[in-house]
Amino acid sequence: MSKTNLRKNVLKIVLISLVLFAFFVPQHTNADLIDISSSVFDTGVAWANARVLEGMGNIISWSALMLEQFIKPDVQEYILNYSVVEESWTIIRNFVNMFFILFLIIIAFGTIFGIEKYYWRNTIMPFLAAALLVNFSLAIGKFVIQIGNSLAAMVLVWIQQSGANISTNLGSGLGLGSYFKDPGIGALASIAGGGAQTLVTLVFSAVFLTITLFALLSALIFAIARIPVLWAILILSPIAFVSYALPSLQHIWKKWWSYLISWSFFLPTYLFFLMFSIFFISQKGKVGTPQPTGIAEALVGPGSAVGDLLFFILTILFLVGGLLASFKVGSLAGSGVNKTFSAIQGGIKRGTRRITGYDTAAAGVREGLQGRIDEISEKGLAGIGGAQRARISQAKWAESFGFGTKRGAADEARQKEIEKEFSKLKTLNLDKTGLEQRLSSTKGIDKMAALRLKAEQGWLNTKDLDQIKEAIQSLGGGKTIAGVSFINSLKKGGFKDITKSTVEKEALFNSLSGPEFIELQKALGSDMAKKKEIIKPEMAKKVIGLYENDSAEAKKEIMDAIKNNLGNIYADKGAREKFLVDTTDASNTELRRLLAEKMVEDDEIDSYKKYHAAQELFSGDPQKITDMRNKIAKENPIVAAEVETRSNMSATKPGIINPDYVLEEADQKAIADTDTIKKAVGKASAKQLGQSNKDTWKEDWFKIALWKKADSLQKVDPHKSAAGKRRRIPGGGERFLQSLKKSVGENTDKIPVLNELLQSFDESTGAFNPLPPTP
Amino acid sequence: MSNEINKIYDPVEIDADFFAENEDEQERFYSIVKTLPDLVLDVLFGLDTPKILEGIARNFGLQPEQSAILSRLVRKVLIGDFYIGDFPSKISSGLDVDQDKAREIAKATASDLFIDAVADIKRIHLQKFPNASLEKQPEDTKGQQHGVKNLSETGGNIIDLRSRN
Repeated sequence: MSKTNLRKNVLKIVLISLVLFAFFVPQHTNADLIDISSSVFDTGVAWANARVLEGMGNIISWSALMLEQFIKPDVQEYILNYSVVEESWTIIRNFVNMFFILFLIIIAFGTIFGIEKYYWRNTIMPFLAAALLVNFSLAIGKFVIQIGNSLAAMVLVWIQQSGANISTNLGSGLGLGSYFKDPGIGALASIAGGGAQTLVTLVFSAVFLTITLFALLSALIFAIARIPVLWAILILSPIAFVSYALPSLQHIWKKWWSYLISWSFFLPTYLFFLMFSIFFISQKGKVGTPQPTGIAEALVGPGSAVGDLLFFILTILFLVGGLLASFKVGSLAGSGVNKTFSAIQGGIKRGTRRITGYDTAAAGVREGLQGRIDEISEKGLAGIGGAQRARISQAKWAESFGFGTKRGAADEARQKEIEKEFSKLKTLNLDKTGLEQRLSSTKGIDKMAALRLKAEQGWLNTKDLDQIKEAIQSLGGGKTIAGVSFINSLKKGGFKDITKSTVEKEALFNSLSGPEFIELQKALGSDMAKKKEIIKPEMAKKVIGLYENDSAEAKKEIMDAIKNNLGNIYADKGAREKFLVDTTDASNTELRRLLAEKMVEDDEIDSYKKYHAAQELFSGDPQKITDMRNKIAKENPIVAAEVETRSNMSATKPGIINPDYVLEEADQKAIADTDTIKKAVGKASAKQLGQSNKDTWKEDWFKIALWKKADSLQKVDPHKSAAGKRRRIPGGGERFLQSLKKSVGENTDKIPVLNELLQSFDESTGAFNPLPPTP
Repeated sequence: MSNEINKIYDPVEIDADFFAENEDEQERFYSIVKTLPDLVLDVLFGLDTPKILEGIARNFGLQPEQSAILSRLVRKVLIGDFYIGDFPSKISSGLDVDQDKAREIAKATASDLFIDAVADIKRIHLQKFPNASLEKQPEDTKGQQHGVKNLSETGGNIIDLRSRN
């Protein structure tokens, strides 16, 4: 048992003992000493008893009086029609009237979104009812309060008809005003007798009076509080009525009614129970207060102490119980109102549905709108709402908080939505104008899908540049699933018409800064490379740099594409050679390597200098060097021979490997005399030899080799001298030189060498004279 | 050759550039040249050959382009690139002239240019086109003039060099 319970039980035992002592102890004793002291005690207790109970009785009387004043119909009527209430109500009403426009928009959206709760069929009638009744909200509120006040007035009339007013009845009935004024007089005092009995009376009276006082004070406080509360309810009534228009606000409407009913009907309910209390008290006097003749009669007979006690208890029960019941009745009444209004609302909805159900025109419109509604409910409207957005948002949150969702789930969800829209859009077979219109009229996923389709169709133009950038940014850059997909569409469309010129395209490429645009840059760069639109080495280097960390496959693809642009970047052979052999800028190495590959492919490695540069660039790839040498051997046999010869000679002359090594005359002759060179020059056609690189032509060993070939051919196929009517027929060496001359053309680097060879031929002898020594 | 204009009437010089650029063709030509009899060489490399061809061209009102083609056809006949019996048809198609005119040009070329080398030319063609000569034989016997048969397929305008000896 807890300490509190123990304490309560002890208190109960003491109280019961006191009651039993008061009623059952002997009333007369023979001890004089006790008589004297008892008399003094009785007098003191009786005096205190009278003062306390009289004071409490007065407070109760005053409370009752005040309560009576407050609940008088004329006072209530005055309070209800207080001008401030009406003025305030007008302000609120005017203010809330503005909300109907907003509510109409909400209903419109609800209808478009297909949200059942806000669908026009379900909201239009409550809306109209609210719009109409909001102007009568004060009158309706007042009417309900007046019903409560009328009931209260009716009960008051009954109380008054019983013979007295509340204070009089309560005061007299409980003996509060006079019953305790004279000590020793009163039912209880006479029964119990003596100071002890008076003490018991005091205790009981104090308890009962306190409860009574509490009940009355509570009623009074609520009666007073009721006034501002009812004012507030009336002033705010327009808000309650407006709230009825929208389903989500109808709880305000219900609550308002609950308050109105509670506070309106609290008073009559309480008065009803008060009336019963007063009836009981007023009937107490009729029962009478006969003097008891015996203990049994004194205890349970008419006017006995127990009878009085029962009156007290019943009166108190009605007072307190009535107070509690009035609250309960108030809230029950509110709940009943709720139910009533719910029923009314349901009836309104059902009625509206019935009307719309039979309205074929409305049904047609409904069906027509259904498609659009479905679409909007999926995608939302003006960037707001929509299941589509919700799905993406959900995925985003799930990803952010790691609810068992893999990384990139939001991106994947977004891409799925775009893909869905993209597929739908494709089935529409829109033309350029149609797609343009769609692009300008949509947002979010739809816009993204439209832009993707436009890109894929190659219909993008210069005006779309910003949109493309924005799209890439909104997709989280070009590396997200959606970003990759978008860029793939751009690639598919080939960035056609996106710029007016290659220069503009290059400017666009350079304008794309930031990590989110790297993939776009790569795509654009790749596209330009594939279309051979790269015209500057810087641009080529940038594109190559973008693929630095990509897969070998991707790298190879871009390299191959860039390779095809080298012809634009280095338009002439001289420029290509110059760039290939220029080792001063290390940042050019990658591009130089690419150029070397290209030159090998195009049989442009036609000099030892170029070969040496390419070999250096391919140093990490022996196979490439072998392939290059094989290719050169086939297409540029002279260079191949020189490579072989220099390589062979490097054993004794290491420096000869270097293309800048200055060959001495002996070296020149030695090279020309090698079988490799002789064989190569001998086998090469005049055309091949004539087209050999100018650097080769500048070499003395080459000139010597050419002379030797011509001389050899002349000896094998000598000329036929002119005879009779016939002119001279040239020999093999002469014809070779003629062919060589034809091949050399106007090349000023080669003509002097050729002339030297031609001059070495002696027409008179038909043989070649030895070449003069090199100065 | 002194100038470019005369070059078009020279059967060798007309394709000097071609030969210079196409060594194989040049070598093929000169390898044949080495085997040709002097009389044929005299026609092919003859100092008068351009003048004769220029005369023929003038007589028949040939344009420079037509003259160049005629010079080329003469070279090809001399080295036996095609059968001499096809000379008029080659002229006709090459120079874009009618058959009659082609036959007249062929006849003039043969009589003015080939006349001294007819026997050698005949031998070369007999060696190179033995079947062709056999096929043409029956027609060759038709109408002989001045000891030289006119080839039937040429409408009698081409001298049959084979029946001359």
